[in-house]
Amino acid sequence: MIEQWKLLKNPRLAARFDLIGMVTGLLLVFFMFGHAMMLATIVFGAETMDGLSMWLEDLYLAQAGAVGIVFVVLIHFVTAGRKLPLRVNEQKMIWRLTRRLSHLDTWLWLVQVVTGMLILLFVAVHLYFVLTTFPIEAVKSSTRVASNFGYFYAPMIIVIWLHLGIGLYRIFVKWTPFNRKILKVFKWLLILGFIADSLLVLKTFWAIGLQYVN
Amino acid sequence: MQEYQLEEYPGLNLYIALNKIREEQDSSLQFDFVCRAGICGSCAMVINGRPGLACKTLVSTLPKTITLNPLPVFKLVGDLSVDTGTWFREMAQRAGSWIHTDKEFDPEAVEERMSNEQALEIYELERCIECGCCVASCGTANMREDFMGAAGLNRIARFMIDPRDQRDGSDYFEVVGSDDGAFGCMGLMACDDICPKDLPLQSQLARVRRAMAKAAFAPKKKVAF
Ligand code: SF4
Ligand code: SF4
Ligand code: FES
Repeated sequence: MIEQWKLLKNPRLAARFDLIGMVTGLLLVFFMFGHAMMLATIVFGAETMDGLSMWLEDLYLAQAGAVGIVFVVLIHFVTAGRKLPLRVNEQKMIWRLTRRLSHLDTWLWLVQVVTGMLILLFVAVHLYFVLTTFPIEAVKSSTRVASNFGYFYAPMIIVIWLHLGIGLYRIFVKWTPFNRKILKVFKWLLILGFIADSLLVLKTFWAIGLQYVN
Repeated sequence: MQEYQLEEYPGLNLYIALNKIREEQDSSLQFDFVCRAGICGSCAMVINGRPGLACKTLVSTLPKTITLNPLPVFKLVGDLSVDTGTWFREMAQRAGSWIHTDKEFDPEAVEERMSNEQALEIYELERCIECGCCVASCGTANMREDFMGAAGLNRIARFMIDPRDQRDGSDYFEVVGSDDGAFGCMGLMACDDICPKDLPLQSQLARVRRAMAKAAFAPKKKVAF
């Protein structure tokens, strides 16, 4: 039997897509680290954060960044989403296997699929509000959080760090021979650490915002 | 689903338990075994949701009610018996599971040497008993029929290490450079956790994946038709 995919012009596409999925994933990880750090400047007061965001906006880094990130998110969605079970019988098979197997990493992959979908929604709503109220200012952000938008951001935080932590872990598992027990510890430290950090930052925004809302 | 009751005693393993059931309760029960010692790989089945070897599983390590299913992915023969042979033969053919070389074999000559590390590493991977547990526990293999599974990728890794095999990156790419091979694997690592022979599947999948990524960027070989 001749496997006809080998006769295609570019049988390397699967490999390329896999790599692009990984590279865009890594880019988004770095972006999120940066994003989290910048937001954390709120702890030093609204002025510090405004200073930083003004500087980024003057250099057009914030604007270009937003467009760039949307682009990267979409590419990541398409390349990583190739692995999703699209047919009903595939979905049934993977669901039956996962339920029976009681194997955490296999469950986490389903978590990855669900959080990935949710992130698309969250990011769309988040960007809509940030970009329609441009420029980014601490007071604006805090009043948004305090006017009950915090209930939107809290689950978003959890979903994003879960997706990021699990994804980063899987990159290491797939490409390196590092001991998985150690990688697992790092994964959970990273996920819990960043969720805690982000929730704290959210709480700070909320507290500042409440002063203005009332 | 049929149910059987059995008295447990110390040292009872699933393989003996199944034989007792067949002798005393249901002579039509189908399941496979040969070696009774975790060497032949024929007694693999799904034990309370997890693929494993019946002859290596003590009943005392399991709860009171034990649910057994045949391995998924493979063709069902009947009850707990599946045909892993056909799958593994096809895999071996696709993987080109032999030393590819254009050197003439000279039965008189002294065997070529390889380093001790290489020999040991190959030996480690050759320990696969083709039980099919890794394939049955793999999300990708359950969804996609043509996926070569951890056993298949492990086989490729074995020949990549072998200095006598003259295949290079692009030759292997033909075999596993697709979604049916290295890039189908999603890194769920059920295979690595479940392999009853504890093969280092994670590191071998990573080895093949790295080699294939490299091959995907190497200059193309010209192929004429
Ligand atoms: S790591 Fe790859 S081969 Fe192993 S179970 Fe997961 S998808 Fe299958
Ligand atoms: S790699 Fe392990 S689980 Fe897979 S067939 Fe070989 S021995 Fe069985
Ligand atoms: S009977 Fe041979 S492995 Fe169990």
